[in-house]
Amino acid sequence: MHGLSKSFESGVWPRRRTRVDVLRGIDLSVAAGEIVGVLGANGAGKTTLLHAIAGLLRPDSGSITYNGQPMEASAARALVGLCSSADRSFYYRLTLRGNLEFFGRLYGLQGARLTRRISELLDLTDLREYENRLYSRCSTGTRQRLGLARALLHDPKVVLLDEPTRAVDPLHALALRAFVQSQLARTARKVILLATNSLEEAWAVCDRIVLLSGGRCIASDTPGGLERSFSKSVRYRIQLERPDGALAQQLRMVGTVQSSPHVPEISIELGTEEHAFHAMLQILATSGTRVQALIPDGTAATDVFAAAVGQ
Amino acid sequence: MNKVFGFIQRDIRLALSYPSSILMPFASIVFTVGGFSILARIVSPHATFESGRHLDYFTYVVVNLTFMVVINAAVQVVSAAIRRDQTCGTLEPIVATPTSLLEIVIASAAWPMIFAALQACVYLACGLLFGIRLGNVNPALLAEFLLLGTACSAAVGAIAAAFVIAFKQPAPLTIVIGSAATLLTGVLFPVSLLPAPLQVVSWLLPLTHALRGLRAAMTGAAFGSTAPDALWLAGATLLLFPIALLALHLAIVRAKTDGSLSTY
Repeated sequence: MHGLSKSFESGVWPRRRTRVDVLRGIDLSVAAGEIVGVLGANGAGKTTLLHAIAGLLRPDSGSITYNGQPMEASAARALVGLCSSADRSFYYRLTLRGNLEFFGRLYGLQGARLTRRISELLDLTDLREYENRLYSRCSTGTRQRLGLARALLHDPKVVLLDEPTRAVDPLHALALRAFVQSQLARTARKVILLATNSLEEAWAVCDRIVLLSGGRCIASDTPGGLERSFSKSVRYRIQLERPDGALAQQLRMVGTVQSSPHVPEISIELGTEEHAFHAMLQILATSGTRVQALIPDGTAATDVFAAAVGQ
Repeated sequence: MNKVFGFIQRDIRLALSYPSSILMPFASIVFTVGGFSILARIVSPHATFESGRHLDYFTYVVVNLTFMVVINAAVQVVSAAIRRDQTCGTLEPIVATPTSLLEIVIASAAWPMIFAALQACVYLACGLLFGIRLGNVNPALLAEFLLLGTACSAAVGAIAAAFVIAFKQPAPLTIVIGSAATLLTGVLFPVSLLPAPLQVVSWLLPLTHALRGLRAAMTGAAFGSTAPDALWLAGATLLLFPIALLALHLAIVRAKTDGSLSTY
C-alpha cells in the first residue's frame, strides 16, 4: 500500500465536528509468507488499516495493490480474509456450523466442498466439539476462534488478523500462533497482517513489526532490529538442563547476568550491538552445557514499544 | 443461487429458533378472517365495493388482506433484514464477502417473501373456509399484478434499506406507507369513500393500484379493464428501480467512508 490516509469526522453536531486523522500516508509492503505485526497504542489506526485493506473502508487517499494490480474493493473481498476482534459479528441463534455454512455460501462454497472445508477449519481451530452449539452459548475465546475459521473459509491469499488471541486461553493462543506461523505463512505462503496489543505475541510470531503512532508508521523492522533501534539493551532467558554457575560467570563478560545456584535458568541483558549477541552464542557453544532454550525476554518488547510510541 | 439459498437457509434456521415467530402470524390470520366474516354480516350483501363488478364485503376484504401481506412485505423486508444485520453486527462480515449489493438485497428478501406468500395462501384458504365467493379467477392477470405490485414495492423497499444503511433508522416513508396502507389503499373500504385529498394520496401509493388489479383478477376481469393500474405500476417500477439501486450504492459508499457499516 502506498500513501494510505484516512480521517473521520467526530462529534454529533455539524458545527462542532472535527476531523480526526487516523491514518496518515501509510506505506507498507508485505511479501508472501511474511507475517507483519501491526502495533500501536489504542486508537493508533490498527483496525482502520486492516478494514481499509479488506475493502470495508474507503481510504481518503492512497492505493492498495496485490501483485502490482490495484485492489479495488470487490477484488479485495475475494482475496482477503479478515478475522475481526468483534464477537458481535455472528448470528447468536445459529450453531457454529450454521454460521460457517452461511458465510461459506457467501464466499461461493457449496455442497461437499463447503462441508469438507468447514470440517477442516473446525478441526484446525479445535472447535469440532462445539460445532452444533449455539453461538450464544459459546465463550468469547471460542467465538474468536470461529472468527479465524470464517476468515479462512475461502482460502484467501491475504489474511488480516485483528487481535486474534485477545480472549483466547493461553494453550489455544499458542496453538493458533503456531498454526499461523507454520501453516498459513510458511506452508501456504499467505500474506499475513497481525494487529495486536500483545507484544509477546508480536515478538513471538511476526517476521516484521510495523509501529503506528498518531496515524503514521514510525518504524518497520524485525523484532531484533526494533530492539537495536529503540532499546539500549536486549534481554534473553537461557534455559539449561541444570544450574550452571560457571557458565553464568563466563556470560558476565558479555552482559549483565542474573542467575541462581538452584534454578536452571540464566537471565542476561546484552547491549544491542551485534557482536555482544555473537559473543554470547560463542560462550554457549563452547561451554559444554546443554542449552534447552534461548528465549528473548518480553520486557525488551515493552521497552521498545514505550520508547518508540513515547517518542 | 447458492448465495440466495444460503440466506434462505439462514433465515429458516433463525425463524425455527423462535417457533412462535412462525406460528403466531398464521394464528393471527385465522382470527382476522374469522372476525371479518362476522363483521361482514352487518354490511348489506347487495352493497357494491368494486365499480363494474359485484363483490361482497367479506370477499373484498379477504382478497385485499391476502395480497396486502405480500406487497407490503416487499416494502418492509429488505430494510428489516438489513437493520437486523446492522444490530447483530453481521452486516459488515456480509459486505466483506464477494457478494454484490444486488445479491444481498434479493437474497435478504427471499425467505420473508416466501413466508409472506405462505401467509397469503393461508388467508385465502381461511377465506374460502369462512365463505368468500370468487368468480372466474384470471390467473394471467393475477400473475401480472402480483409481479408488478411486488416489483414496485420492492423498489420502495430498497430505497428504505438504503436509508437504514445510511442513517441507521427505518425510513419514515416506509413507516407511513406501512401504517397508512390499510387506511389509504382501499384494504378495508373502497378508496372512493375517502375525502378527495386523501384519494390523491391513495393514487400515489403502489398498493392501491396493485390491489385494484388483483381484485379484478380474482373476479375474472379482462386485461383491458386494468390497464391504467398496470401502466401506473410499470412506470413507477421503471422509475424507482434505478433510483433504489443508486440509493443503495450511495448508502454503502457513505457507510464505508464514515466507517459506520458495523454501527447501529
